[in-house]
Amino acid sequence: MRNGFIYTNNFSDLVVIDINNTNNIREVSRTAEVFPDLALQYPPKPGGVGRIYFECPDSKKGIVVGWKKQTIHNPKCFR
Amino acid sequence: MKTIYQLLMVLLLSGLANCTKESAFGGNTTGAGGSTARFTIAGNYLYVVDNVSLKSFDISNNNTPVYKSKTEIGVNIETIFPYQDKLFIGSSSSMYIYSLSDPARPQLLAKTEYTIRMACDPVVAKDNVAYATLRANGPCGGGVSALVVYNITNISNPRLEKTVTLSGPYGLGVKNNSLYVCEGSAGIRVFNITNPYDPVAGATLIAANTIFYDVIPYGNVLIAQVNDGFILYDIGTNPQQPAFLSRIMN
Repeated sequence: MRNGFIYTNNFSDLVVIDINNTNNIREVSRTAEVFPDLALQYPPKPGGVGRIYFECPDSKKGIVVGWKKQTIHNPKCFR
Repeated sequence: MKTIYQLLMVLLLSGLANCTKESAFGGNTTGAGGSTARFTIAGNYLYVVDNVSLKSFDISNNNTPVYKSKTEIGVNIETIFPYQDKLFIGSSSSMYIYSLSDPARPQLLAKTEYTIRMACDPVVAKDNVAYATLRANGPCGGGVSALVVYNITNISNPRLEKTVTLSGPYGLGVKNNSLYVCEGSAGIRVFNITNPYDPVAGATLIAANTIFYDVIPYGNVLIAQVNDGFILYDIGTNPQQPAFLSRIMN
């Protein structure tokens, strides 16, 4: 927080929000890929679990916003 | 979840920051962040750590952060804390100190390897002393959990002064002669640091079904981040005996 601007992240983006006018709070800037390790490129791996498989993210479709547990066929990505 | 906490912390502090321009740390920070933060503001710059590097952004023009530099630090970088013209960066094995004499390009002053490896380890600093917690349980590895005290009078050669064994520390905060260390479900432990290199354990603050993750001393208020929100304590009356003020649920 500085001079009425909030600096925060939205997934891997750095976002600046102007709150000087509380009736008109708005996003004034967005910088991509500042927090690469918050990009959710992989599903979370619970402790004690071995290898997990998942759908490979396609960056053309945008950013990953979450993961759901589902049965998928022939997954190419694992960790 | 960490992301959500960071956002909430920023939103909460924004309300407080409107009331006062006082810096929580007496340095040139404008905002206030906890010891487990991943980004921080010092002067006209925003500093961000990811797993391996430190990035700087010029935010003189509030609307548009301007990317300035990226510095490779090491591996498993976890936390960043500003103090005076320096950045204290915690990784799972080391404490790094960077100079901000050129704020666009932080320069490495010192790297201190912890004797206890593989621990989660936020750092705070005050005058000529730096405090770090090493948490050995959970996802951070095995071994000993502790509060470690470094003499940083010679900033390029921090010297280990004391190790205090703890049960499983998370974030920590320092104000004047008091040091507050979160110990998860074991509460907040208050240390007297009148002798900064020899913390003396005092009160412990606990609450039912509560896990304490991080603290920010902000003026006369201690803001504690807990599992379901925030707890505020008065530390203006008696900093060694924080008094419950309110609880804010997420």
